[in-house]
Amino acid sequence: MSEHLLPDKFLDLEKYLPWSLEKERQRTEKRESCTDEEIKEFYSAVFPRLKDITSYLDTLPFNDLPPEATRLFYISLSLIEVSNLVERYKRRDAIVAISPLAYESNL
Amino acid sequence: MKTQMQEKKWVAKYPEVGTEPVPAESCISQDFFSLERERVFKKTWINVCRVDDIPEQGDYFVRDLSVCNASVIIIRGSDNVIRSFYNVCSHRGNIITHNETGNCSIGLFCPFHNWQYTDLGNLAKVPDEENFFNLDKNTNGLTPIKTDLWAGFVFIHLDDTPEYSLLEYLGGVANKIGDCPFDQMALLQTYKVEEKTNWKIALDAQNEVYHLPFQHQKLIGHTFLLNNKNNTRLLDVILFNFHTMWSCEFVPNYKLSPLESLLGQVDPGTTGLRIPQLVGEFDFYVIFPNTVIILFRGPMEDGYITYHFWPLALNRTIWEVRYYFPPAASAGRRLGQEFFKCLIRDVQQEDSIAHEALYDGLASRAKTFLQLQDEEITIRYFHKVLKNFIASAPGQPSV
Repeated sequence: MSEHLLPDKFLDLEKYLPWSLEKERQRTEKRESCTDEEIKEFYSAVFPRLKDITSYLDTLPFNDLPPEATRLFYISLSLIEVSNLVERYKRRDAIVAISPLAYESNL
Repeated sequence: MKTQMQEKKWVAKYPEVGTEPVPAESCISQDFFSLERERVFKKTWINVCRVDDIPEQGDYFVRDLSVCNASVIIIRGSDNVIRSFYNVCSHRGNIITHNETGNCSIGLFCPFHNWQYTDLGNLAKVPDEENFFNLDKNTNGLTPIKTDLWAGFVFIHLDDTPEYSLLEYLGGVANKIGDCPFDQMALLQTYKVEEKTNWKIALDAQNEVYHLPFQHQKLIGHTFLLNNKNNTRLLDVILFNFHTMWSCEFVPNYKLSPLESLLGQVDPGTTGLRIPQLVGEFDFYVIFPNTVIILFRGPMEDGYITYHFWPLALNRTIWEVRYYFPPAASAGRRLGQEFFKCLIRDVQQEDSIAHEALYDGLASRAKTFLQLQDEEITIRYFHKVLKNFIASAPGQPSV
């Protein structure tokens, strides 16, 4: 058993465990609670590791991931959650949209 | 690329639809909204859920049809038949359950006096039954609502004697996509957002691609096919008896975002499910009055999205969006699904603010008509169908 919360190869991402969130609503709330700079830092740290993350996860049964792999998977979902802000809008104040928290999501 | 780029090609295909501006009053009139209740929502087949929402015997799904003041409970009975009823107790008319989903294999109980119903809708038990007067349990089951299934979609009709069967009502839509492998795709996410707008304004705003390069410039401004003046062009339009379809293609080799590009590399799997019924790469079916089914092509697999516009009041609407994908067997595939879903979700959040602004603008009555271009022909046709329902008993539109 790993004594770490993430798989050993990914201990450098432990600092981003607050982004390891199961529900989309939680990931959206996390995004909304962070500054643009915090989001960019998270994106810049996880983006270069995504290939390694998926290669690692794909060695495991996807529907039965162990807890530390599940946490890593949730971090990669959060990368997607913030990607439009980082890659397309660049800045939060460029967004003209309803509050994302107005969207009630079920999972 | 199959799309023809010339102008005014849809009015040439359907000249009967005309070119006149469309009156805006129907979107802001309380009287019109009342007529919609009686002549549209109580006179058409309404999709309330999918069979996947109630997979097991005894499973139920509750749909609040606020526009008709009806709470509807859809139950898969112990005989596997799907039935719908008013979610109303036979005792004194209480709403029985406030859960959206559940299972009533052991009975459906009214919380007021514990009257008990079976999953077939029969009245099973009444506390202190002997103290009632000539109460016949056999004639006091739940009040049934006309129900039928098509391609795994559950439809109800609040009129006991519908003018059309469900298949007649769906007409050409059923022929076109009835054999779609809907049952091989599973619900990934449901969103609901309550908007301060009229339900038709929200639906109309979704029912065209003209706005994509402008309103959604940053997110998908150059994703859907454009002509050499950067205007969208549809691949095909079909006007059915009451329903519509438009289809479009994506820009060939459109510029991927860094993450989109990376996700293409991390999904080494083989190509997944393909929907053979796709005409283009994004096919948008409006099933009159308030349901949309979108079939889409992804790089590795296809999927579908449904929209429902649930009117709460003249100027309050719940937009419900559901995303369906083939169940993912790898992390890379699941992340690809998440990416597509979040991209379209963020587009929709831009749309929601527009739905409200459109209502505010029209409600001022500064403008009395909607000016529609050729690529917006399905909006024009929708309002023509609606007008026919409002004007008379439902009949075959003259177009």
